[in-house]
Amino acid sequence: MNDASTPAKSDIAVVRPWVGRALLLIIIGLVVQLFTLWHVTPASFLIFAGFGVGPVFVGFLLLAWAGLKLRRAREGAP
Amino acid sequence: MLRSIVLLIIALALLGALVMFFLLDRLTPSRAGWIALAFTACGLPLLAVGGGSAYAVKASSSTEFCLECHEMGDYGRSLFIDDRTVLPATHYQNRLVERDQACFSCHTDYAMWGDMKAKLNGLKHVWVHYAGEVPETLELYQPYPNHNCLHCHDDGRRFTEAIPHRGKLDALYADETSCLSCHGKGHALEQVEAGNFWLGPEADN
Repeated sequence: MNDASTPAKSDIAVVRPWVGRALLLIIIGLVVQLFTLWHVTPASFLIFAGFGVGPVFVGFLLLAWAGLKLRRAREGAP
Repeated sequence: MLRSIVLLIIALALLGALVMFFLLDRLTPSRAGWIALAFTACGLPLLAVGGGSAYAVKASSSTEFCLECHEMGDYGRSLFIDDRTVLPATHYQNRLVERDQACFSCHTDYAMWGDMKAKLNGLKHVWVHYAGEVPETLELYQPYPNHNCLHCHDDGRRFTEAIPHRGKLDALYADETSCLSCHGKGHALEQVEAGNFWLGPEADN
C-alpha cells in the first residue's frame, strides 16, 4: 500500500527511464566540470560553460518534466 | 582552497549521481529513496554547478588565464616595460593592481553588470581565438571609460590634489575629458618590440 508521498510502482515505471536519462546527463556534465576546472584555460572555460553546465541543466529540466509526468500519472490524467 | 572545495563538491555530486543511477530501481520505491534522489540529482549538482561557475569566473579573471592566448603575449610583456609613463607597466610594477588580476582590474567595467559583460566578451574572444579570425590590431569595444580608473583613484588624495588635475576634476568625473588624453600610452607595444624591460628588483641590486 502506498501513502500519498510514495508513488505507486506502476507510476514509477512511467518516469524511471527519464530519471535515468536525466541522471546520465548530470553525470556527463559533472565529469566534464571536474576535468575542465582542474586547470582553467580559455579552452577549458568554454568547454565548462557549454558541456559542463549545459547537460546538468538539461538534466534538471528532464527531472522536472519527469516529476510533472509522475504527478499527472498519480492523479490519473491521460 | 576554493578550487579544492569546488572539486570535492563536484566529485561528491558525481559519486552521488552514479550511485543513484545504478541503484535507481532499488531506491525509488521508498520515501527515503526519493529524498536521496532529490539530493543527489538536484541538491548536490546544483551546488556543484554554482561553486564550479563561481570558481571558473574567478579563475578566468587571472592574469595567467588572459595570457594563455598568444595574441595577448605582447600585452603581458608590456607589464614589464621600463617606463613609468606606461600605465599598465607602472600599475603592475608598483602593485597598484593585484598582479594576479592585472588585466581584469583595468578591463572590466565594474558596477552591477561590468563583470558579466567582461566575461561574455571574454567568451566571444575565446570563440574567435579557436573558431574565428583574430584581427591583426586588437581594439577596445569602446573608448576607455574614466570610471574604470576612478573605481580606484576616485577621491584618492594623490589624484585629487595633483596639480595637472586642478580644474579638470569635474570633466574627468563626467567622462568629458578622458584620462588617457594625458596618460595615453596604453600598452606601448613599440617598447615591447624594442625590448625595453624592467627585469625586477634583483636586476636593480
